[in-house]
Amino acid sequence: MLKKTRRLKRHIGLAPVLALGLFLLYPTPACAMHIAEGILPANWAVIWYIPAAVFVGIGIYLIKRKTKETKGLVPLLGLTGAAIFLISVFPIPVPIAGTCSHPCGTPLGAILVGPFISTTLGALALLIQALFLAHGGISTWGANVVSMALVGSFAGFGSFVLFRRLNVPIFLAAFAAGLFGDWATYATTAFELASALDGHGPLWGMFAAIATAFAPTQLPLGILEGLFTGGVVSLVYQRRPELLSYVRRIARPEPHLARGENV
Amino acid sequence: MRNLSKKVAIGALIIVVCLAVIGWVFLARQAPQGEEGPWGGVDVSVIEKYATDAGREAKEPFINTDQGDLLLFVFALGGAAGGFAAGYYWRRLISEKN
Repeated sequence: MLKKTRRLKRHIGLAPVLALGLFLLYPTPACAMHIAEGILPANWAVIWYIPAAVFVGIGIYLIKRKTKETKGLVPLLGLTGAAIFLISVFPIPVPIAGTCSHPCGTPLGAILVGPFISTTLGALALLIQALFLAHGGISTWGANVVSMALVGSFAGFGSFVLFRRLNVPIFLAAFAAGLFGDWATYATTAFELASALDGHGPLWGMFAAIATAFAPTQLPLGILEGLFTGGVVSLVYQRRPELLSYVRRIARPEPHLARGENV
Repeated sequence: MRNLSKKVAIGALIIVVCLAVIGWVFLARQAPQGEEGPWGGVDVSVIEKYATDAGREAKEPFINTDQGDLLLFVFALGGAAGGFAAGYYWRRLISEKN
């Protein structure tokens, strides 16, 4: 019985290796999303790997520390990781423009689990997409992590905190997070491309040209991502406010509440 | 004062959204179309277009699943696995009291 189980385990272990071999044996040209494999020169690919590695490392450390401290964090991490993966791989057609693009999901992740952990979860989602879904690439993983996972998380989280500090309702603060997180992601992608390919013109001129080319698709998608982020964060806050306990702390209390008076 | 800052923030947000909608409508006709034609992704119509113009071509992915219906299969598999995980953890977080 024990031998059979061991043999079965060995066979199960061989299955991914065989699958990998099958994939590698039949390569043909492909068009990938995000910044595809080979588009960035090697030096720029390495440069973007550095900040990506630093922030992903901090995120891994925080995940380890926080999961030891809080047992209930694992389901929230699972939900956030799955949500980022699904949202960032979901192509949405944009009417009038006649193009397709995808939201990021990292602003939502940053509100739910914090920007560093959201960066790590976004990086993991991008790695799976680059390996198995022909989205992005291994050499451009660092650049894609910086634009979508890092900048998307921090711009979204920063917007959320700023708007909550101004006592804006949760739905609108999360809407702003989704909106600015999405736009910041694509602005960063435009900068990454412009900086790597600017040998053919001035950097900022090329940045403006690429950002303008993104605009007809990403302007409405940012609004859509804002609505989605606002809806999900409001729902989570209504049903399980303790998951977002920090949200109450970052909003400045009303003067009469700060003085200890009742409403 | 606090009410004012809240009103200013919400007003600024409304203005940004209105400008975005106007920008979308005005720029939509100039949206670049890639080789894929209508409803193509911005990866091809924007990223690969500018890269090709600068002499950089996209290479095939490390594991190339973009062959025939294989990409549909891995997308469906990824969507199902991600959807299952999201639904499972959502139920654990929101529906289960303990």
